[in-house]
Parts: sequence; structure tokens; C-alpha cells
Amino acid sequence: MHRPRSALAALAAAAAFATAANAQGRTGAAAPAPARDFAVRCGTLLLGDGAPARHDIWLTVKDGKVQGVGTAAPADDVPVVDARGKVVMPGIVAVDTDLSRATDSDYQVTPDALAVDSFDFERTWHAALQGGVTTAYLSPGRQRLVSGQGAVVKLAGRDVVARVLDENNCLRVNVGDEALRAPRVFEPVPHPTSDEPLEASRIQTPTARIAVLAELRALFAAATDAVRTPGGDGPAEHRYDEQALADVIARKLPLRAAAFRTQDVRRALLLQQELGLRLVLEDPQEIAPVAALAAAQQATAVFRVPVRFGMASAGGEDRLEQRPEPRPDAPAKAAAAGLRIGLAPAPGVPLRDYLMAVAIAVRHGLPTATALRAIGADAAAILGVDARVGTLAPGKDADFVVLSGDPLAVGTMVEQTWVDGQRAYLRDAGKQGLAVRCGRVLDGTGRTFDRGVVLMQDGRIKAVGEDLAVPFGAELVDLPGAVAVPGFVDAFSHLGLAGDGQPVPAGQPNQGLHEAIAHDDPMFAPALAEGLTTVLVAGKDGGSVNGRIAAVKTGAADHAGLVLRAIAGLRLAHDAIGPDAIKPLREQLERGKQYVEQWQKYDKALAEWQQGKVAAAPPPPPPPPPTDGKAPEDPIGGVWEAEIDIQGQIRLKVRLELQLDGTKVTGTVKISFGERDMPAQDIAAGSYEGGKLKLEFRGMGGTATLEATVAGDTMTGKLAFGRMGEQDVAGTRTSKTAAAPAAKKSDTKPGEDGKPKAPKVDENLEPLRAAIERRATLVVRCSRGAAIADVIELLEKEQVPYVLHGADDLLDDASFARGKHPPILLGPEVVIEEDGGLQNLAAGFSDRDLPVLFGSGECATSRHLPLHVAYAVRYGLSPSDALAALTSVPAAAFKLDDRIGSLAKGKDADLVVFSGDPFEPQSRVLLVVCNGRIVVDHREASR
Amino acid sequence: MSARTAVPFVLLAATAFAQLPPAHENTPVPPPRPFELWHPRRPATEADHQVARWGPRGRPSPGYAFRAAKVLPITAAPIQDGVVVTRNGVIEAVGAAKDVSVPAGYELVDCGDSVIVPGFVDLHCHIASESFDLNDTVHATNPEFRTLDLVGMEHDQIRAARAGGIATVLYLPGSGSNMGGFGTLTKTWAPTPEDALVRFPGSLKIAQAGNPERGSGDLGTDMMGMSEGIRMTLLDGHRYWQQHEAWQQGKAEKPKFDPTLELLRGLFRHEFPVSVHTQIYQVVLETLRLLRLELGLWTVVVHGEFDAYRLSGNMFDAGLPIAAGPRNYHFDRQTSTFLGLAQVWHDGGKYYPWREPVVGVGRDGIGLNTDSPVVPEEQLPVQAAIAVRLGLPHEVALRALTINPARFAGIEHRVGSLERGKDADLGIWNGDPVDPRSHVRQMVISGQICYRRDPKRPAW
Repeated sequence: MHRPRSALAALAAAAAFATAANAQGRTGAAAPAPARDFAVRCGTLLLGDGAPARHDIWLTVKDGKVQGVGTAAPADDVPVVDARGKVVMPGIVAVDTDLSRATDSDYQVTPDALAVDSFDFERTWHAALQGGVTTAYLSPGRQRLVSGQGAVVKLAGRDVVARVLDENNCLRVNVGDEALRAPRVFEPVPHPTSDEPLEASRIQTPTARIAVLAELRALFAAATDAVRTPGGDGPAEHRYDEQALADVIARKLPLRAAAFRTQDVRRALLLQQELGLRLVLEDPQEIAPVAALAAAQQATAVFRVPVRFGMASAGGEDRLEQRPEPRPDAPAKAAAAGLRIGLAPAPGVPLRDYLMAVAIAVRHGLPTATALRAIGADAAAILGVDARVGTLAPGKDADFVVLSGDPLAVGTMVEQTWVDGQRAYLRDAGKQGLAVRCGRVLDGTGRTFDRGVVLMQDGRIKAVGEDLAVPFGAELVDLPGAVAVPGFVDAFSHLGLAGDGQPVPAGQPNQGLHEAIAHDDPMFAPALAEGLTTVLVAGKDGGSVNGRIAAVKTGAADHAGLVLRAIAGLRLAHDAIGPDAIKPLREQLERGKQYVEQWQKYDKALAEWQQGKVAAAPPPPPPPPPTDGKAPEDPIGGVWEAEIDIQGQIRLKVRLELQLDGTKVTGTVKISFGERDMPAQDIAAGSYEGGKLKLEFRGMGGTATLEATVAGDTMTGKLAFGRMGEQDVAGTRTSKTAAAPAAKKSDTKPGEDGKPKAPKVDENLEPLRAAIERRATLVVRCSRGAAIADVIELLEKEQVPYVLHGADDLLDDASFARGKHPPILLGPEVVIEEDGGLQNLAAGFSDRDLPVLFGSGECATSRHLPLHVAYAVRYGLSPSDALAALTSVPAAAFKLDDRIGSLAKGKDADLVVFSGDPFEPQSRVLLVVCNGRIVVDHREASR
Repeated sequence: MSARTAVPFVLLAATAFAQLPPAHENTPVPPPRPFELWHPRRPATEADHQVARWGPRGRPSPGYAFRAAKVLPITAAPIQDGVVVTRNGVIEAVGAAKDVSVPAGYELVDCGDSVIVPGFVDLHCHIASESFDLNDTVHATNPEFRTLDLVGMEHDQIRAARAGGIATVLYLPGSGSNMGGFGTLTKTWAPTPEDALVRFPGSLKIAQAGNPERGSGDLGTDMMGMSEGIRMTLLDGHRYWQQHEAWQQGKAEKPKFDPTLELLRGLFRHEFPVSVHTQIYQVVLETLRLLRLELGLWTVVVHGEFDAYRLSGNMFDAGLPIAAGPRNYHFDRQTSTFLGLAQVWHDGGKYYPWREPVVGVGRDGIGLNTDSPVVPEEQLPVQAAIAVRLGLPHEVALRALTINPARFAGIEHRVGSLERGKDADLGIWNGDPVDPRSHVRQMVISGQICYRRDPKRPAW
């Protein structure tokens, strides 16, 4: 059991090897960049000592150490880690972990076992670094009375020697239940004799609580006895190096005592009193009744906050069962009594959730400042490594973490972890979602969220709300004071249709716009930069039936993301007045309805056909062949069975189903042996002439032949196939009627016959069909009152979604609307000079309860649309109506509101963030998100 | 703790004498004089104790005057309409309401028709721990163990004790080995165990048979081997004590301090007794012979079950008291009758094969115990009820719960009766505590109301 007192020698050797290997280029990994000098620009800085947060602070790092903390910016040539909008705090000092993976020896007392020996320095401690842990206490085991010595190490760094902060950190003892269950040990002598016989296995004490202190007292007494014989007599357990025990008595080494229950804690304190020790209580969950005593004795305590996030917890089914209950309020009680405490998560909790576990202690009454000290300054002090880590003071190690927000908030994540001035962890921002937090979020339907957060993932909105927690892994864009609104919609645009040197084509109802438009059309960018994320695109108008309308995204990453709706509508024009002036439009609609009827008929027939296929019974078997006496007896037809015995070892059964047609024999051959059936084989060639039957079929990897003489209902002959060679065969006819031939597996598609035929697709009528089926909208350009009235009457009657484009006369006489409230498409001119005054068309319609939407009718200059709307706001359009007119109204009018138009769960992640109110001329677009991607980012420019 | 009892011994005895006349005549044989507890070297005052440590007294407590229809001081006649005045942890006055003037500023606690008795004393319990905390059955003797390390005020049993009227307990180690260690005399309520301490060691626990037998083939499988182990350990202590005595008289060097033998030294100084788990006739005889007569220890029997009562005369002569229980009766196969153990110990009688009747230990030699959790701690008064039901005089049963065990343990100057200057430990009952229908209304320990049955006004 002799171990080297120091593991440093071994480590140094390992390091030397690593260096040598590096020199030979064997490690493969690129040498890390040397610790460089840099500065961290901290939005918020927590020093680790529980002091209030400081804001907009520079943390300067030199040679892996903190050089300074202050408000003065460093020289221009100093590299900067930008943590504005982030929270920077010291790397977490984990006061207890299971990272050493030290397993307990069978021996109850192993004071010379070192936890550092079991630690894997080569491993990347990803979860710990992801959780912000940079320094960890390593436990030497948990189950024994004296498990060994704990250690304190850094969790990253190439120099494994330097990473050990303390290899003899404490002597770990257990005064609770766990220490009572050490196994018996068998210590046979190598060569037993009658003088030195084999002894029975030895029980190890203590086995009951009452014996724990007695045992420890004896151990310490023996170790400090003046006359002692280290490595002397006694069982192997007693041949350990006693130095650690003596060091504890000399107060060189703290005693770390695991004590869950009150009486265990009390016993640990008693031992401290008796022996004058430095005591760290490990996870004293029931400390509350004796916390004051512990504080008076200057003991410290480390707690493992009892939580199991997202994990099942065993037990709890038995009301009578008395099991020690963990006390999440124990840290708060201990701290309140004046104890210095450290915090760590419960065993089994991934270290990436470290801060959340700490938050649970706060939930149960621990002051936040104390909690932060319990993973910073106090944690380091308890472990005796406070000269190096735990706080961000000049001269301390540059171990820090960059957090996305408040350290104890549920969604806060560690974005970067730095150890000794080297970045050890950088959060992978990809695919984890996006969160935009703004001073206000206007959802487009009239709701406002102060300090609103929009969470987005996979191109969709996950949640919208006030002060929502940012989930782990999501990228947070924090823009306090800014205003987020849904992505804007240009309800009439030619964007994407202009070609190189080509004008925008005339609109046609059969245009496949969605195929013609490229997702990376360079003309999208300016529109996107102004917040237009969706455009309803159509060709130029001309005539009464104009272009098909497609809805496309301006900020799509690919073509699939571009197309919101291939057919979002159809542009029509109607301004004729007079008797039955509406007739052409009505007839157009009638054609569409007839086309729709064809499809409806087809759909119905198809549905019935498909249902019939399922319900249809299998075809009845064919009638048996006639067996009246007149027919000549068939000498072959029927079922024949034969058995073949191959050297008494293999028995084959042969079943022939034969039909005679003239001299030609058809049918199947099926051979089985044992329990196995070979599939029936069709007879490839067969004949029957003069009592001789000849058959050829595939079998056993080749062509098989059967030649037999038939006499009545018996046949004898030879069967030859493959490697089996030739075998005698004798069979009898067991039935004169062959079984009905199995229904042939059809290799044609099922139900070719009777399947209804689809109508021919008429691309010219597809937009009308979409509108009649209420999947798209008819945009009717009209201006004259009577024409407007006719259109409204017709389309309301037919219940087809529609939008009126223009509709000037409605402003003068709302009665043309017949009491209906059709949406009105306006733009780009929204405020016109008339009779020396200004008329605000948008406000006018809006005031008449006619929802307004805006279209630019332009191409590259679509981008001005939001400013046109701002102009309408200047002259009286309410900002909320204006916002709706750019978002929810067009979305609803074009039946796109399942995807766009508002900020709500499940909608496309399209949003625009303005530096202020969206229609203020001074406001700038800071951010545009389209399909969940940040496509415009002007945050930097605004700083 | 008698997980393994010695029933086979009894069966043997019963078989052997099956054809003989009735084993005893149930005729009380009064002792010729009061029972005298044997501890001749016992220090005169607490201050004279060199080894045992006494707990604090006189912690501040409010001035109370508890007035009730009946006050039973135990060591004095019952008082109708009595008052007990307490302050700072001690009783300041006891008497009839008309005779006792309540000082100004004292709160009068009107207990109505209640009966006030002293807080009860249980000399055999394993309170404040789980069973398996107490038996480290690896070595045959464990003089290094102390229940003092285990006392806590949070355990269910210790809280149940308060609710059951028990104020003082001797918290003993288990009987899994021949010498389980040192027990602690503690109150069942105080803010901390240190405040609750009455005396440590309360006693040394020795278990002679009926549990500590070992099956591992080494010494200690039978009585002879076990007695040898006990004797050798105690002789170490005896030697250490003698060396100390010699040193104190200037005749020898001061012996090297040994914490374990130091405590054993207190045993020989009669600073505290040995509590013996011993139960059948033969074993109790060995207790008498080895511990009391050979080694001269202040000895208290804390089981004394089965047929051991035949030795009541010997015990009387030797000044060796019985705290009977947890088994409280003995089914006599020869007469097919139940014997109340406390009663037969108390009464004495004529037993086979004695020619002459044996005297009982009398009213001052008998106590009761629970061995909790074998019998739940709060059922100590029920043990008294069973004893009375089977013949123990009611007045003796009350003494067996109070002043007798206090004397057996050497703490009668603090507890066990309602007397001026003693600890203010009062059980305020709704009726006769020995009546199993009665319950505790309030419990006062060291002058503090630490329990109220009224759930609307819980104390502490």
C-alpha cells in the first residue's frame, strides 16, 4: 500500500514525455497559441467576491494572469474579447466533483491514496467547461472511513504539472453511514504454515455509528504517537503512510468530513473540538440544528445542491420508509448561521448545469451574493486556493467565463470559458436557436411585450413573451430600447422579376413565378435591409386578367425557403360600369368554378376508388374443372407427392402440381426437407407422352430434371438436380385436381383499372382555383364606385377572398362597400394633394374600418415602402394600423397568416428590429431575421 | 435490545422441574429494612467526580407557577390543589396552593384538573439513534464507544419521549457485544445536546448473555468465554484505577493517560454504575458474582427477565437494583400463571429449590425500563400500568418511574421527585399517569414548556 507521497514526480515525468513527444511532432495536435495579452470588454463584470456587478469594465490579462480591472480602455494594439452585452465572472471553483473517478479501495483506511492519481489530465472536460467550471476539487472516493486525500486541479491547460493547484488538499473521512459498509478483506499469507496459518477474512471496523469516532480517535492517536512504526506490523490496512493523519493533527491538512445527518455533523464537530482540526464539512444536508456551533468552530461546509434536473428519482413510494431527505435549504441555513459555504450540484447532475443548481440554493433562501461567493471567493478559500482563483483581482489567474446573461437565470449559458488566459471552451452557436430581446416587441396583432423576447428555432418562432428565459444554447441578441416587429410585407411588388437588361414581364395567370425567381436575387437585399421580408410578386398589369401572384421571402437561404406560396393570388382589373358590366368578371369566375368542379369530382371519385380498393373482397376462386364422366381421364393432372431418401440422412418431400395440355405439362414443383419449405418452382418445360413424364425446373442452384414412368396413380423414376446427383423417386397422386394456381403477384401498380383519371391541369385557371378554394386571393384593381360595388357584391356572394386595389371612390362614399369591409391595397402614394389640401388615403380607409395593406408596385424601390407608410403615419394613420398594414393585414388577406404577419408561436421567424419606433424617421433597422436567420445586422454600426 | 433472547434456557429449566410442586408461593416477603443501593465509594458531590462530567443546570427559564388539582411529589405525600413554582430550570417551591405564594412576575399556569408528576426516568433505552447505529459487533468488548457521540435532539424517539412524560433517559449502547461502551444520561429536551446532558458517562453498558453471543468460533461463544472477556477488560480498568489511587496518594508515578481506561476508572470510583443486560437466573447470578461481588462495581440490572426474580433476596443483600423490562411479565409454565416481573422482584416469595422464602427488593429496589425502541419510549408509563395490573403496588410503580431509577443512576439530587432545588421536570397529565387511559397535557423540562398536546399551541 505504499504510494509515493507526491504525485508530482509522476506528473512531471508525464509532462516531460509530452514535451518530448511534441518535439517529435507525435502528438498531432497543433501547439496552442502562447498565452497572449488581451483585454476583455465586459458588459457586466462579477468579481466573484459577491460585490455588486460592475458595468462596462475592461478586464486586462497578461501572461495568463489578471492584470487589471477598470474603466480605462487598453491601448489600441491590445486584442479585445468583446463581451459587451455579456456577463463575465470568474471561472467556477467547484468545491466538490466526481471528476477524479477515484474508486474506493477495499481497505477502510487509506490516508495515502491521492485523488489526483485517478484524474485524467488528457481528457477534455467538456461538460465542466461548458458549465463554466475551471477549477475542481477531486474526491479520493466516498465510501470509506478514510478514503484518502483530495486534490484541486484546473480543468484545462497543457501543462499538467501547473494544473495541479493542490495535490494534498485535505484528508477525506466519512462519519456517516457510508463508512459502515466496508467489505471484509482477505489477506492470505504467501506460504502458510502451522506457525503462520491462513486466517479468515477480516471484518473492518467501524460497522456501526457508535464506533466511528472511536475508530478515528484511535487512528489519529496512533499516527501521532511518539513511538510508532510506520509500515510495521499489522494487517495491510495499517501499513499505510500515516503522514496525512499527522498533518491533520498538525493543522497542515484540513480534515474533510462527509456528514449528512445532524448527529453526523455533530460528531464531526466534536472531533474537531477534541483534536483542534481545520474542518470542512462535506455535504452536511442536515446541518441546520448545529449550524451555529459549526460557525463558532470556524468550520466550513461544501454542499451538493440536491436536484436532479430532468432525471427520475428513485424511491418515495413508501410513506413509512425513513430515508434521509436532502435539504435544499441547508446552504441558506448554514450561511445564515455565519458559516462559509461552497456549492456544487448533486452527484449525477452534469456540470454544465452547475449554475442552475446554484440557483436552486438561492431559490431556497441563499442570498445571491453568497451563492456567487460559494462558487468563487468562498469556494476558493475553503479549498485553500484563493491566492490563485475564485476572484478576478490583479495577480489572480485569468480564469473567467463569459455568460449570455445573469449567471443564475434559467436560460443563461456559458459562451466562453477561459483558463489561465487561454480559451478552453467556445459555445457552438449553430443550430441552437436565436433569441431576440428588445425593449418592446410589437407582435403585429396589437399586443406589446415590454422587455419582450422572441425565441426562434429551425426557422420558426418558438415563443414570444415578456422577459422569457433564453434557453441554453440559443444565441441571444439583446437590444434594450429597440423595438421588434414582424417582418414587413410588400403586398404588390415586382421584386425578383427584373432580369439583366430585361424589363419586368407582363403578368400572366399561368406564370410559374416561384420557379423564375432566384432566392439570391441581388435586388432583394435593399428591401430586406428596410425590413421587408415577404413580397407578393406579380408581373405588370395589362388588361382585365393580369398576373399570378406569388409570395416569396426576400431573405431566404435557399430556394426552398424562398417560396412562401407559389400561388398567393391573381390580379384582375374591373372598372366598367353599366348594366351587367360585371359579366366578364363573373364569367371568368364561372370558368374557374367549372374547373374547380372537375377537380372536386375527380377528388371524390378518387376517394371512393381508394376506399373501394380497401374494402374489395379477394376474387372468388375459379370454379373447379368439370369432372363429369365424359371427359377423358387426365393421366397427369393433380397433385403428386413423393419422398426421396438420400442415404438415410436427408428426407426430401416433393410435391408436384401438374396440369396437362396436350402433351405439354405445366404446374409447380415444391421441395421441402425437414421443416423447411423451398418456394414452389414453376415447371420450365414439361411433357407427357406415352406414359413418360419429363419435367424441367430450377432447383438447387441449377436445372433439375424429373423423368418418370406413370402407371395409374403412381410414378417411378429419377430426379436429378444440382450436386445432389440422381435420386430414385417414387410418387403417388394424392389428388386429381390441382389446387387453384396461386394468384400471381402482379408487378403492375395496384388498381390501374378503374382508377379515375385526373383532369388536365390548366395553369391559366390554377390561380382562380386556388382563390375559389380559399387558398389565394383575387386582387381587383378598381376605382369607380359602381364597379367597386359590383365587385364586392359578386365576390362576397361567391365567397372568394379578395382585395381591392385602389378603390378611390370608397373614400368619398363608403356606401359602395355595401356594408362590407374588404381590404384595400394602397401604395406607393398614400398621401395625396387634393384641392389644396392633403388627403391621407391610408388613414381614410382605416378610419372607415377598411383594413389597409400596402404595395409598392415597384421593383428595386420596393424598399421605400416602410417610409411611405411612415409618411401616412405623419399625416394621421395610427401607428398600430400602419404596423398591421405591413404585417397582419396582408398576411390575412393573402391567406398567409399561418406563416407570417405576426410574432406568434409556430409562425415563420421573420422579424425586424428598429432602434426605436418603427415609423419614426430617425429609427434605424438594427436587425432583420428571415426564416430564423439573421440576414441584416446593423448593430455594430449603431454603437 | 434483546433481539436474541434466551428462551431455550427457560425451556430446559421448565422441562427439568415439570413434575415438581408449584415453583413459588405468591406470598410477599417484606425485606427486613429498606433496600440500600450499594455504591460505597460514590463521591459525595458532583464536584468530587473526577471522571464523570455533569451537564449544566440553571439555564434561564421563565418563572412559572403550575397549579393543578393534584401534585404527586413522590418523595412526599400527594398534594390536593397543589402548586409547583419553577424558574431558571429548577423547582423553587412545591406545596398546596393555599400555602405557596407565587412571586410577582411569575406566570400562573392553571392546569385545572391535571395531575403533576416528576418527569419520568428511563434507565434503559437506545433513544436518538437507529438500531444499527449502536452495535459494532466486531470486537467482544468496546469500552472505547460512547453514546455521547450520538446524542441528537432531532430524533423521533426523543421527541416521543417528551410527549410521553419522560424527561431523563440513560441512552445506552447496544447489547451486541459484551461491553457496548458508555451510556449517556440526558434530558429529552434542550436546545442542544450539550445543554441536555445530565452526566457522562451515565453508565458502562455490559451485556452478559442473550444477545452478545458470538458464532465465530473464537472466545465468547458461551458464558464462560464472555465473562472472561468482560473480566479482562475490566481488570485493565481496575489496574489503571489502582495506579491512579496510588499516584494520588503519592505512592506511584502518574499513569499514562488512557482515554478508555480513564472512563473505566470512574466506574471503580463509583462515579457511575454499570448497566447490565442480564436476564435469566444463571446469568443474573453471574452478574451478581462477577460484577458486584468480584469486581465491586455499582451495578444496575436493566433486564432481569424470565426466572431471574428468584434472586431477589440475593440482590437485596447485595444492594443491586433492578430496572425491569422491556419484557414485563413471565409466563410460569408450572402454574400456568402470569407473573408480573416487577411485582415478584418487589415482593419476593418462596421458590424452588429454596427451603425458605426469599425476600423481595422492596419499594426502593425496583425500576422500570422500555429498552426503546423495543418498547416505544413513550410507553414507559404503560410498563408501569402492566406492572400494577400484575400486582405491583401503585405507589411503588410511580416510584419505579421516578425516584428509584434516579437513585439507581445516582442523579436523585437532580431529578426523580418534585422537591425544592431539583430540576424543573414536570409531567402534567390529565389523570393518573399509571392509568393507560391518561395522557400528557404539557411537559416541562428544565423549566421550559417543551411540549403541549394542544396542536394549536405547540411548544418548541
